[in-house]
Amino acid sequence: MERGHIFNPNYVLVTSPSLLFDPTVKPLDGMVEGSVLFVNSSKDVPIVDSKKIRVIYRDVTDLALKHVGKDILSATMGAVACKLSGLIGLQSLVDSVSEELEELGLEPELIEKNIQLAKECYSSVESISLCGLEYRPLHNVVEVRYMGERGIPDLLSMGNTALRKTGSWRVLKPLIDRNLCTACGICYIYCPESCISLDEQGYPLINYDSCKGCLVCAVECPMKAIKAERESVWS
Amino acid sequence: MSITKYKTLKDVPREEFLVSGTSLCAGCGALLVIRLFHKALGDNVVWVNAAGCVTLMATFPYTPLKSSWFYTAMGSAPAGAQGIRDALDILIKKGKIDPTENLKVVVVTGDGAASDIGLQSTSGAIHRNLDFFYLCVDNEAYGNTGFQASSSSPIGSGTTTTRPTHLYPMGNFLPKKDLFEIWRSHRPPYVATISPSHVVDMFRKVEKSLNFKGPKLFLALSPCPTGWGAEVSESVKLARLAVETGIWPLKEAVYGEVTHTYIPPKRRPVEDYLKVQRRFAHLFKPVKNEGAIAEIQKQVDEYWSKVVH
Repeated sequence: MERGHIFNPNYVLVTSPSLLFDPTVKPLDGMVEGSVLFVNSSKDVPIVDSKKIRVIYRDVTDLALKHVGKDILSATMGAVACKLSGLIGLQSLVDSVSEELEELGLEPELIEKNIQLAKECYSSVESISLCGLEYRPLHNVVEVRYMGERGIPDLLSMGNTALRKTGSWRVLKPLIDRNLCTACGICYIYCPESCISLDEQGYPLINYDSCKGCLVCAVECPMKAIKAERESVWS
Repeated sequence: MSITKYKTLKDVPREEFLVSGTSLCAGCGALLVIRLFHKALGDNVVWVNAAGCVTLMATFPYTPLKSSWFYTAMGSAPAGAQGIRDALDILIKKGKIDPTENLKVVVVTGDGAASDIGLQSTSGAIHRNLDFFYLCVDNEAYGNTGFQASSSSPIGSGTTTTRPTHLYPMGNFLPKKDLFEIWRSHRPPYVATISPSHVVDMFRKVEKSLNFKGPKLFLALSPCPTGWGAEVSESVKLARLAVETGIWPLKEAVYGEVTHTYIPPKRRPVEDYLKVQRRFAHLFKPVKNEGAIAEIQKQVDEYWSKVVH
């Protein structure tokens, strides 16, 4: 079993379609013809890569919300990986979900919900055999591509993490109801990510490019003017 | 407190020194503390960091800071601060940089570096009366490496190295090291505890500390949704609960003289704080550990009985 950096993956599981085109993640790198890509998404996302990879889409976040009530995806992706590879049976999957979550100190009811979730994910995809796939040596030279102005790190640039769109982390999106908002500025104070700014009248504006969807703003809002909505569109 | 420009949350400056896009977890309490603390300090800051979660805030080639950043080994952030302070002083003295370009040297570490690995270099720096700030973002364990217990982990908490077992049903059975008192015993000009929930209190403390030359030390409670097993949206709520239950007293010490800056009018039971975190779940399920909870409550009550007469 290869551990650590996998240069030529046979199976790639992507938890969010927003990661597909993130230049710092590059999940499709090293995928060879005939390998399998699983994307957690309700709809097809155009894959720019022209290689003949087999792509499967399923919205497992939806299943997680249904079974567990939270967007926690470990059990889902584990289950999908087991099934796709065809190497790990359902009972082994259930045993390891149970064992790992017990180790984390989760309550039995929550573990049971995760097992149900894993089972549904397991049955939602088919195994895909990889016969005929060409063999590649494991120790490749890592290819570093020149990427325009990002190619050369600039030690003196300040505040450049803003280039990284952490909005792709978000599952629930905070939405401010302007009719309820009193421009108190509390959401702005408590946003850990500096994602909320105030306009001239003192009303908050959320920077959705970077908002990770922690929803501290929604909990702290004294007027309950911030609602959370499932993130729908990712381009 | 004496004259302050911070009366309400409206007085918090709008300028951001920390932009978005870090790789720290959603809802990170430490990130919120640093963002607010930086606003209170203003510009002209150089941060000196020791290994910890916060190190991931500024990973080459990215930085969220509009100020400078210097990364040191885990035990030596205050030594790094000494070097930068000396260099600045010498450059100013020799006329090589203008005094207006002087920087505030601020150490930022987690509780592991502050209470365990970097304690001796901190003690040395305070002893030498180094003119610097120390901000310890205390998430009560080694969060960056997978939440192993530190000497700052509270009694009764489960971490990856203090799992509750039949031999140790409380999980961590060692008390939390009292870093405030350790720092205070050096009689530095200024020591304070702060919480991201009590923002005006934090700004007033930083404002006050700016008047002193020498070590100015801050211990900030930094809720960690990942390690504490709490909702990411409830970081600030948890910090507030820690203050309202009396578990996290807000206080300051000027040359060793302690003043409590906020005394909860009616302390909430510690249970309210404990029961919403997975790291304390074993105190409630499958059987409620009344003895352990009562012991934690007793320690808090004893603390406050010496403060409020």
